[in-house]
Amino acid sequence: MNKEEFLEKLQDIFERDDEITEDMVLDEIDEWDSLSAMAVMAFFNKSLSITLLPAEVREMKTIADLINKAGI
Amino acid sequence: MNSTVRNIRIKSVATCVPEYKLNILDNTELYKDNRKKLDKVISTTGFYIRHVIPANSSLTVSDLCYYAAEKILENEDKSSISAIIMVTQTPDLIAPATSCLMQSRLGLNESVLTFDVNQGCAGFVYGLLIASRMIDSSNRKVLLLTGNASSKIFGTGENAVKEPPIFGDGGSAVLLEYNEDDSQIFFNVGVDSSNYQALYHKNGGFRNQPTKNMFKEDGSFDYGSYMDGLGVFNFSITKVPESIREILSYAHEDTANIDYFIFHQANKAIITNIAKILDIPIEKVPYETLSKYGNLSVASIPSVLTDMGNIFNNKINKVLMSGFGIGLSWASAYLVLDKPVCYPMIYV
Repeated sequence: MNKEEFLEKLQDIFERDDEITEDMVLDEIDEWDSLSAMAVMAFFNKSLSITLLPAEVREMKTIADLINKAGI
Repeated sequence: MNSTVRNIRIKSVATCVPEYKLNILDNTELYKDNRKKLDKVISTTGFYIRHVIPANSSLTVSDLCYYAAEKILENEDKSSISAIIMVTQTPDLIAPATSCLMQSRLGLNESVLTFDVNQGCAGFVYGLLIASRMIDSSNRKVLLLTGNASSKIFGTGENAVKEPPIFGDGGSAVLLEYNEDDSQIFFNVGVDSSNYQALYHKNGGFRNQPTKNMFKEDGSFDYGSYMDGLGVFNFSITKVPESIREILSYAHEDTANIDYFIFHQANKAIITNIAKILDIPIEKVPYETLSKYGNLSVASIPSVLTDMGNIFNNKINKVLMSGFGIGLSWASAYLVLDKPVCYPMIYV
């Protein structure tokens, strides 16, 4: 999965109409909440075989942090 | 641990919930009257209606289990019951055990063995394993009661803990009996208490005994309940698939041969994600029960049997059950459901 596909997937998970970009701050994204955090954790688990721990999610500040964790 | 029991069958199942119910749409203030957010909560978690004991009611979980037990025992010889096991975290009293109180209330023999098990959402399968181990050709029937009145902890009145509005109250009764056929039930159970604080009730036990400052303004007790939603979610989508893979390997069985995967009705997101991770077709994974009654904790797996009685009453099904939650504990069972009598939901 390349970066563009990953960002599209996040947009899909967040059920967001507007594009998601690497520099976005998570707390400034309306759709970022505990439900979308759950969906992101499940996506990492199923599609990337990466366990994303709750503490790691809470530490993350930007979309770039998610990209780094995904190793993309 | 992995374990196999033989010659046991589930003969009958009943579940009882309070008639009183709450609708998630009545909680719009929780989502700052943001309807889009509320719709997302409903579509993601599946929660909609919750049956709970009203704030001013003296009803307890033992009452719910009692009505369920009376239903399954109405055509039984009560003297044939050799044990009552009650799995709950909302017992009537600190002591004696609720199962003990049920002996006289249900009119069972004095020779009956009774004990309670303090377990939550994994508790039905724990109870199934323990009860199955107590049955043999001389002690042929055991009554398994499982239920929680979570509203007694979280409250339903003005000062109720508003988040999470997910739990319902329910009590189930299951009659297990000795079966001459060479049937087997496979179990996989476990616990990782290193992270028990992801879901717990801090106050009211003997580590943190009640003190004046544990009471809320309205006089009700604050159990100090806490849930780390993301922590429980992570636990669920990690440990439950592991447990399912383990039990399938142990039982030399394949997902394709299993008719239904009955997961603890925690929430829709957890259940559907576990199914996705294990590549289980979603039509084999019921999750509608939680929308009708809420998360019934220890009673949630039997409530699915109650809810899908028309399917289980008429056809033999291979079923994998898995409960998971407080502890943090998990317990899975793989068994053949040989047309148990599943009574319709009882409302009180």
